[in-house]
Amino acid sequence: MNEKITTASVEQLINWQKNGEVSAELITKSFLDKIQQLNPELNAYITVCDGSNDFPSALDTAKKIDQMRVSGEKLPQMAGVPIGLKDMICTRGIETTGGSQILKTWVPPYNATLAQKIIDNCMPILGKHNLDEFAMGSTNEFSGFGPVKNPLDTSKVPGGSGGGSAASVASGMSILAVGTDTGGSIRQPSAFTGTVGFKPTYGAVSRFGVLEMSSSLDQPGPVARSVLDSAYLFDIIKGYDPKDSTSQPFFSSKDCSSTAQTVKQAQARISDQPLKGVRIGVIKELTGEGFETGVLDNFKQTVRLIEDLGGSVDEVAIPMQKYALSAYFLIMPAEVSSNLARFDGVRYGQRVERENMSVADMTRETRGKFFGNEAKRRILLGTHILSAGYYDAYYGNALKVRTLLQEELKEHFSKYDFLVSPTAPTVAFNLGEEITDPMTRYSADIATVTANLAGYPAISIPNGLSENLPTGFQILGSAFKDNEVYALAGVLEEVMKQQGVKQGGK
Amino acid sequence: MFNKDYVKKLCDLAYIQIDETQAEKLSEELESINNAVQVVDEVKDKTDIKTVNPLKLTNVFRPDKLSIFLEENASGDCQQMQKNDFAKSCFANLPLATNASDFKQEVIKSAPNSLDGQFVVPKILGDD
Repeated sequence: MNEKITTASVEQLINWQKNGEVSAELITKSFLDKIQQLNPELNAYITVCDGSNDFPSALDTAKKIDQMRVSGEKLPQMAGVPIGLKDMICTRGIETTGGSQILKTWVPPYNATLAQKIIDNCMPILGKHNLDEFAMGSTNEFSGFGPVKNPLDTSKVPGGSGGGSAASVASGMSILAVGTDTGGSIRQPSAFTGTVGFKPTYGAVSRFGVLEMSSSLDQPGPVARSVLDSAYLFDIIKGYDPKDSTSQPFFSSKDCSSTAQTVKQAQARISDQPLKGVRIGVIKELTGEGFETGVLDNFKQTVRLIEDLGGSVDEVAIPMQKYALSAYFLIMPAEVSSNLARFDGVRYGQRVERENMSVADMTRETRGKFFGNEAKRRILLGTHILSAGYYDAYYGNALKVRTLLQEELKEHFSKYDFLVSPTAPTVAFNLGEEITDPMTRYSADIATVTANLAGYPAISIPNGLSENLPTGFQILGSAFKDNEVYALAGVLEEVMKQQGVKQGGK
Repeated sequence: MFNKDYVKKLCDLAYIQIDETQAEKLSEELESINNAVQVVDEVKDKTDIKTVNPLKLTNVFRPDKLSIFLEENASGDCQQMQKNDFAKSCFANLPLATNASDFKQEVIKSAPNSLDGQFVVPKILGDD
């Protein structure tokens, strides 16, 4: 039964509880058992809310839901479906570290808006997922709490920064997770672990209470095992929030319909040419040099599938794509260096303390000791980029790339409904590989940063195996077309399933 | 450009203490990243428009009245929590702040060092 629960879909968990087949307690317990069994090896959770620590236990929450159900109280649809949250998301009373030693021991006094929505929807919080320190990395090896292993092959990384969430969902340690995506941190780990990762339109999900890495790029979003599961979670967390001034009112308006319903309708109509009239552009710059053959073969196969399903496909050029990664590695560190300035050893977390030290020394030593190497690299790079004399040449030009890239994408979206590419150029890397040049790793984000720079929604869905490891197919939509992106993803997922494409997920 | 001295200067500006070995390694790494990203220079004449935020934003306003940050937040936060019975019951095992001073205590509790509801920092003024 336990295995049946940890591999179930969201709808199954909802229905089984309604029928009285399983209790919320049994569901949560099954996931906690799985965590106990797998987490020592995979390290996907930093904190587990199993009642063994000072934090509120997911089991207590589940028991209360069962009591409420028995007494006939009206419960939200998602009641009793448990979830894990990336440790960037503030949870009242549950330690929130951002994957950094500098914040270890910090217990937020408030919930992020999205965490509050999850609590309000009666979803037990299983724990907090591991990540690269402050969401900076593409392998999870930069976590201050040890690396995460890829559940499909433990000699490989799960991707990053949301490797903990992806590994957890892929291995059945959770059914759903919320991650954050700044340059691909939800989508690239999804590609590496055979899960579904969605980065919404910038402003669809509130960033209030989500630790900031790069504020103009960060966007929280769902991690799940199927497109429909992901849609159910997106319906919960999306929406306007007056506490986040970059939040978009559209996502609470009448025009924004249920994403789960959209996916179900799209998947119900796949029998006859479901993509007739859908225009797709294949991004030329992201389907050639630097991309592994196995990844490209799988990608081309899915593009042919789109044509078989009635879609029209053209190759499109985005000349600005050449500059996207560089612009990203200028804007992001600039924002990182100022966002991480708040960790000064005074208000939260850990600090270095000894007799007769000055405030400046305390701050310097605290940041020197508790920030990891990647955090230091990016802060220093940002400090350089923003310094007088370099500002225009670096940051200014990067912002111009952002303008031009958006113009090119807008032009394409006047002719095409979606732009597609592989999610990442390679399959999962080896864990612990010695990398001397940081740029080698940074290029893992080459296909994903575009969506963040433009603020557009993008999803990664499992796209078959290469070298026995998962690959991802990325669908990029225009701003506010989140539901449309989900619909296409849902159709492709369903057809691949019917055709028996091996995905390697559990 | 990123010689050891320059790296140390950046560390001073960013308040990060590093040792010689780290400075050496960082100077190589930063040099390599810096060389790679300079390619954006090629677009400098192609537009004058700088995009800071990707999508159109609407300003959010609040009443312009004097308040003490933490206390204001606490009352708002507590009210919100009282409103939602489930959230309250879910987290009932927590010392839920019901007034501003308890909420302040909760904030202060997570600081590395505190005294009488205030953050403690090393002495910033001399003895005389």
